[in-house]
Amino acid sequence: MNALGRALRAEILKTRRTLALAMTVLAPLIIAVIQFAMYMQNRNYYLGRQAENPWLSFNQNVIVFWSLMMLPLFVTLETALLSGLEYNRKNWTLLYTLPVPRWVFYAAKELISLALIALSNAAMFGLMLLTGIILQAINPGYGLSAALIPWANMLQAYALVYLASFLIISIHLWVSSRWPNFVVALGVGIGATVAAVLIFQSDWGRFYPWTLPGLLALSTTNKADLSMSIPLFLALGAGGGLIFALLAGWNITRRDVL
Amino acid sequence: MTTHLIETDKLTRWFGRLIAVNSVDLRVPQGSIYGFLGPNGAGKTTTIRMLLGLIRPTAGTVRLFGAPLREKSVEHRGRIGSLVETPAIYPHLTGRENLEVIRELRGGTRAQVAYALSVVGLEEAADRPAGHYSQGMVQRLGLAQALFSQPELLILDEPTNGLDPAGIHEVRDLIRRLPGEYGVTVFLSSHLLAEIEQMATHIGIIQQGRLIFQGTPDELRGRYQDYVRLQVDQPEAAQQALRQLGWQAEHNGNHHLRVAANGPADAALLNTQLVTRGLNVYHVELEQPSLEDIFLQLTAAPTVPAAGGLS
Repeated sequence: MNALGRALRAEILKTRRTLALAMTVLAPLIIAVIQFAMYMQNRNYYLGRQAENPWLSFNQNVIVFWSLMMLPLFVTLETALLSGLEYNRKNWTLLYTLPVPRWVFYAAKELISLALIALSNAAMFGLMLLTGIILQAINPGYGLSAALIPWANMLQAYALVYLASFLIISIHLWVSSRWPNFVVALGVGIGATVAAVLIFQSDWGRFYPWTLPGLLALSTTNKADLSMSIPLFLALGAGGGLIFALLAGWNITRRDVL
Repeated sequence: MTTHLIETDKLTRWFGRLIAVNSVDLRVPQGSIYGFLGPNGAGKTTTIRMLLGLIRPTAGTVRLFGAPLREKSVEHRGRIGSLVETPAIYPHLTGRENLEVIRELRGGTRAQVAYALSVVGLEEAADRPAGHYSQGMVQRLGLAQALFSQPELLILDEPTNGLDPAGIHEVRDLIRRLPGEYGVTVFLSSHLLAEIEQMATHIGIIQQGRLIFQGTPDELRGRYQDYVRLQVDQPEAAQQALRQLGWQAEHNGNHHLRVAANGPADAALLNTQLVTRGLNVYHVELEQPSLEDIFLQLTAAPTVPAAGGLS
């Protein structure tokens, strides 16, 4: 575990001044800006909705966009950037000659990927709140009062979305570690995300890794039928992610470094 | 008895139907600078990758520090520094931060970072991003990574590749100092004979995956015949006299003779023997093939089984 701790500290050091680190805030910021623009543009529609806690519908917009569209693409980019740190100058040839077991490097890469995606989920949560508060300051008619923030509900939603994304994080880390070409990683990510939008509503959508975060986001909002499936989504997303990471680590660390 | 830090027995690697390394038996003595020489594509990098455990041999064994190399064993890696092809750096990090990454992974101290920077002379540039370094500085940073843990064995693959003349000079000078000043055994690959000639105490020549020579530079030269070129007033008479004395002498036209010999003492003896027989000698020149000539002869010839022994 000492070696893993050291490898993790090295990974943290490597992310300094990288696009991968900046993207953890930039990706959620894009969603927050879109949400802000949408509320400002369609002011009259949102101002008139007072039937429920306005934060719930406000967050539903954000978290569905985030989990269904942005998060899978962001995971693709993030894992490709993290793997690219080693592939751009064939750094594996140095790392694998150090007195550290090979699996430690892959485990550290998996953990730093999970940490950065966690950071981005936290940033999305924070930026969502900030956007709501700014909108409320501009026009109190939105009903987004800080006193009404349903903390438990929203925190649970972001936590579940994050846990459900373990599987796509593990898949994309394996793809970007297995094929050094950035285009392969991006191609898989974009293709899988577009397919996710198409099959999201179908029965198969419940078993498709790229729709799991989106389905969990919906299940925590107002889809009662989906809420029954939360344990299934979590088992597939989080449990599947762990199993896939173990298999991927075994595969990557056995490969020759050419 | 000579201690060998690297020993391989029948080391072989196939890539599909192509044999990249073919039954190579390396012997790298402790304290040496071992120049591993061969044309591009001869199998140098593949051999190095097998020595470092980056790829698995198809057949044969590797022994490092007297013990068999095991893929999952990491202990021996702590005693080795390496630089394979291009230095593995993170361009967005400073030189110091790049070494901090190595420090974290190896579990070293900040003093070791300072030590490695000082050995390669990068103290002043240590806090600049490595992406802004010249190629020579990047190469020195790669060497600093390799030297970080003060290794007993340094394995370098084409360490002067892509450097300008000043960079080449810097890196060669550094490598030459390593055995004496730091007690490091250096295994160094190159396709440039001049480079190996200037640094190496031992040479291995690989061609088409086969080790075709292994030994010291003098042993390599010793495998090839010296000649004495003579200019005399009576070439036919001189040739006849020398043949009677047991020399192999050829008449090369005009007043020139070429005699198979063995070093400067033979040149002096030939001169004396001709003069005492009343033959005038105008010019005596010892002709020794350069290592470059030998290398070109060796690598131009069809592959022959590994030759030359190392003490």
